[in-house]
Amino acid sequence: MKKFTSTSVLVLFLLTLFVFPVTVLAGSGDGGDEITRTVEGYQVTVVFEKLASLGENPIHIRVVDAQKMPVSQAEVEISVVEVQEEYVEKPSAGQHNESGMEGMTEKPTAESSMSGMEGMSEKPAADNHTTDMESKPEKPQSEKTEIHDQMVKLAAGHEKGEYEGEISISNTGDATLRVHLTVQGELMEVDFPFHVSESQTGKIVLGGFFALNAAIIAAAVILKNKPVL
Amino acid sequence: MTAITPPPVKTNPPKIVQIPANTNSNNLLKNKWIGSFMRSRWYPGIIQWPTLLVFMFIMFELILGPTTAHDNFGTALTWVLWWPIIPILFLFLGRFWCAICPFATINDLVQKFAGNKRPVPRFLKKYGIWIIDALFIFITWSDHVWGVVENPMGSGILMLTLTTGVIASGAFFERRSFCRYVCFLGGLSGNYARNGILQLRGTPEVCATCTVAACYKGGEKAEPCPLFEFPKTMTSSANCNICANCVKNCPNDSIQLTLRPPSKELWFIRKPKIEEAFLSAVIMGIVFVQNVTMLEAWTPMLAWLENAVGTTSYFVTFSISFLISMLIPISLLALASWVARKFNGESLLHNFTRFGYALIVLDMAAHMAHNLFHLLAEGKSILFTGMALFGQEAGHGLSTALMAPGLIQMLQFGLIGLGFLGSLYTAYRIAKANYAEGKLWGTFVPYAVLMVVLGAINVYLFVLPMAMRM
Repeated sequence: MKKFTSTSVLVLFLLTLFVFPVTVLAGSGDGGDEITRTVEGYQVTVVFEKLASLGENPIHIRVVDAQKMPVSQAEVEISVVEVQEEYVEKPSAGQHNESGMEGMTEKPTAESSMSGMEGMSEKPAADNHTTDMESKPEKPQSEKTEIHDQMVKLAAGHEKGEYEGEISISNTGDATLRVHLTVQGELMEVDFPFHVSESQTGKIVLGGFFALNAAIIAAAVILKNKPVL
Repeated sequence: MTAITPPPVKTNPPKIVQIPANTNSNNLLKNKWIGSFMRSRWYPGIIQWPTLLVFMFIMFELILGPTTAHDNFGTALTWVLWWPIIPILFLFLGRFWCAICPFATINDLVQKFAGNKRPVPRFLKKYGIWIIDALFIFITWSDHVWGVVENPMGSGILMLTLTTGVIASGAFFERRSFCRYVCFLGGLSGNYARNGILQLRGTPEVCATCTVAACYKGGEKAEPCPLFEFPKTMTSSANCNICANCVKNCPNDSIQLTLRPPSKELWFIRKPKIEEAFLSAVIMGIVFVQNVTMLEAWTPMLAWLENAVGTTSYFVTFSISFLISMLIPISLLALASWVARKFNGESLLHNFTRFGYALIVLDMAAHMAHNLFHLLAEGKSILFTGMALFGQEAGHGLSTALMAPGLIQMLQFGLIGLGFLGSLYTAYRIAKANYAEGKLWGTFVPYAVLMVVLGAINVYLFVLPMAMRM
């Protein structure tokens, strides 16, 4: 029987590590989430089928009026507002924002969200202009930036007052689901904060396959040169 | 001064047949560059190892990268670049991809360190192509039902599953058993390689007197043929991956690598097999499915089907559509064979088996035409997703097309036209090789009608607007 040299074992070990360098990690629960908010007498309930994660997330929304009657004639659109905290270097004196757009503060509306706002960040107006007082170098400051995704129109669900669709989430962290509810021509907006945790699925899948393949190789090594049954 | 001469060493050198050297001027191995490259110890490793590294990167990107196909570089590299290019490779280089395939490399590595090298199970030898047929159908079906191509995680799991398959095969069985008897891409490439323009064979008069069989058994210079082929008797390129092991091992310099007209091998299949003919019909069905589900008309078709069967379950509605798409080419081939039997007196099954190979040319052309859309209409997504990997935002709102849709469509029609003519001519040559003048036309005409119908379906599908994947 050919003996394994230490180099061979090392190469094999490194190879397997290279192919599957991730250890098995415990997965988080996959249960859904349900949040209810009231806006102008309408009770809006958002149901995540599973915990919000990166990628496509199926979502259901139920709308009932003050009398708890389902509202089936509403137009429901949703958008995700991702809140990112980032450190920014404040511009020194004389450095003006040429575009003039960066500092605009505006309340997100259905129109603005739909017209290619993806990835655009809005900063408080105060940041737009610098004064002499601000000319000295400052420490980087933390700012919260809102990133608005495109609006998604929900389709009517199977039950009265229910609406369903999918939202795409591209970042982890805190985010807000903004529901744009139009009933009888009146537009209402209501925010639902939620947290997007980093998915462990990929690591679990890699870990699972790594374990399976390692077991197969180990079995082969043990059975090597034993007579075929 | 006495010269010291070493004592003679007793050795048993391989028996070298003294015959005139292989002088075929068409032999590409006689080319100084090609011959020395393929005989060098760097071949095919110099291509194989970088391919493995790229594959590993892709696998990680698919599993751990962006969760949407639109943003995933691994998805773009796999389904927009590699998958469209692969049938083109088969046409020009035969099954060469299989020589550098990362799965095969993993198989070899595991085998080297842990391989039991047991004989291939008999059932695999007997039913290998049927298993490949079934796997190919299952993977295509599951792609649509569970999401493989349009879901990076799904693509990653498919690759990991194949990796596990090759690891198990390499760990327990000899050579590349998985590639020869199980790999669905191997089955596809086997069929397409028959239509390819590259051919590796032994020189009959040299091999006739050879008793070494180093090409099959291996030698000091290289491993044995990984796909269990014996160039001495090999009449098909279906299971030759141009790895050049036989070229390196042959002590008689018998191996020839030559060019041939596309489809020529299909004209003279000595022992046609029903499972291979069935696979060629299945591939046509798969091309139909892939085209139909990308059509903008697919959603209304699905809605109609939902109403007809009374369920909104995609599992049910897609499975019905899938079954119909598979059955169209299979039943049309069976129908043509049923008509042909009236003229040549052979059974439906016999005709189905013999003429099923003629479909391969159109299969390949339709497959290429379909993939051309992905390559040329979505090609820039490779650049965009690649740049995103380095934090560079690119491509937002920009087209991913490398070419105007009209031009892509013209190329698609051109390919379908060539495929149609190739299949038509192949059916004619098969009929001519097997039947006397009196039976020739009666046998050929039903298959000619079949090619016209299948070609027309393909053209119609490419006329309709398609939705993009990336």
